[in-house]
Amino acid sequence: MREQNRNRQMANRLQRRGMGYASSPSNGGAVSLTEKFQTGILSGFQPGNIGDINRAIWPFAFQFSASNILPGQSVVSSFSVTQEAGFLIRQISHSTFRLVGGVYTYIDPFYFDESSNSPNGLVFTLEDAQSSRNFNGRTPKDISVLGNANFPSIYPSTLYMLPNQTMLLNLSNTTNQPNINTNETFRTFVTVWGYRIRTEEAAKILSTVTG
Amino acid sequence: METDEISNLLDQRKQLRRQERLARKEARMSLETELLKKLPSALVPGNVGNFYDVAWPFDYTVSFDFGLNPTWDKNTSQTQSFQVTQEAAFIIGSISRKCYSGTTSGELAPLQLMIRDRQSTRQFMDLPIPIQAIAKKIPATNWEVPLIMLPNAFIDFTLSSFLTGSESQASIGCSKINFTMTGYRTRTSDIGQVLSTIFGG
Repeated sequence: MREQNRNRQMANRLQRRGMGYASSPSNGGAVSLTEKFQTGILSGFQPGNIGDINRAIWPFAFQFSASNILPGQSVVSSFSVTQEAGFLIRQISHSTFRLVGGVYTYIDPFYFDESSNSPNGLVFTLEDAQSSRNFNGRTPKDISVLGNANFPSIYPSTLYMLPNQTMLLNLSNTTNQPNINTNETFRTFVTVWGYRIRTEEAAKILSTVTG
Repeated sequence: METDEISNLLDQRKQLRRQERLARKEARMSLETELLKKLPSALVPGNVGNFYDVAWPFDYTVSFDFGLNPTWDKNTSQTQSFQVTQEAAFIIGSISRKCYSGTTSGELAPLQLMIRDRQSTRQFMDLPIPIQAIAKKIPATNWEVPLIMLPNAFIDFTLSSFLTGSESQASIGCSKINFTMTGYRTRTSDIGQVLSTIFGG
């Protein structure tokens, strides 16, 4: 027994020094994918699509359905997480177009006079359709605060959405109000970035989301 | 304990000692070991080490061109793709966009993008997203989790207009738009694990 233990200790020591897997003549120096991402430049850059089907994660973007919003109009758009896997929200950005004379023009946040060129008066609230939880304290926010692709709005913590869960975006175009009075028509695309993950224990999470 | 067993264990130990001696010798000489000792792991160069261990930065670009002064309508659509070369896998970390004009033919255009992995036909978004939802140049749009693409795999990019019905929009300027995926290349002999995930097996 003592001899066995001693041999095991020696083998462990070699493993710890990183000599255990690399350059082994039996595998021609090949390293398993999991080991490859443990040290060196690729540590912290581990792809999500390696391994068991229920453990794999992959990047994904959901987008709220978009339509033209006329002055004074309110629309509700939504996206539903598809059945295959849950969705973890990391960041949101918006891309808004101004419609003038049948021509859509992207409202560029990098325009030199960004404040007056913004879709001022286009406001939104975000709501979870299942629990009717509102993420904006019932006060509509300007769409510009969602940021753009270069500088998106990043949630302070990741938000988990179950398969089939629906998120609502209530949009209102208030450009016809006297203090703004620009009467503009917009089409806005709100893109939600994150990653997908399958889960076997969805029932446990459901109870948390709905209360 | 049987004599045979003891002699086996002693043989085994002899081999382990030999391995340890070799390992020590290699460790003294190896640039990799020296760098590993001195640098934080994120700063260790990727191109030092065994054939299967090395990783190097890489990017693939796809280019769209609808000609000069294009007119956008519901039929506007073009697909471009890139193929990961045979040598190594490609780990996608981020994506960025470059438009060649600042008008409605480029930067401000009513265009939308869909990205799809051709092998599994998996889409990376539920609906096409406007091109403006991809960051221009830097900082790039980070993919929330890196994704490994195998050697020879294809990624398809489809660019279309979100105009519908009889909507039609003339524009002025160059319509060339590039999308660049940036990440790392690394060799792997262990591809089975990746395939099973992509195809859901």
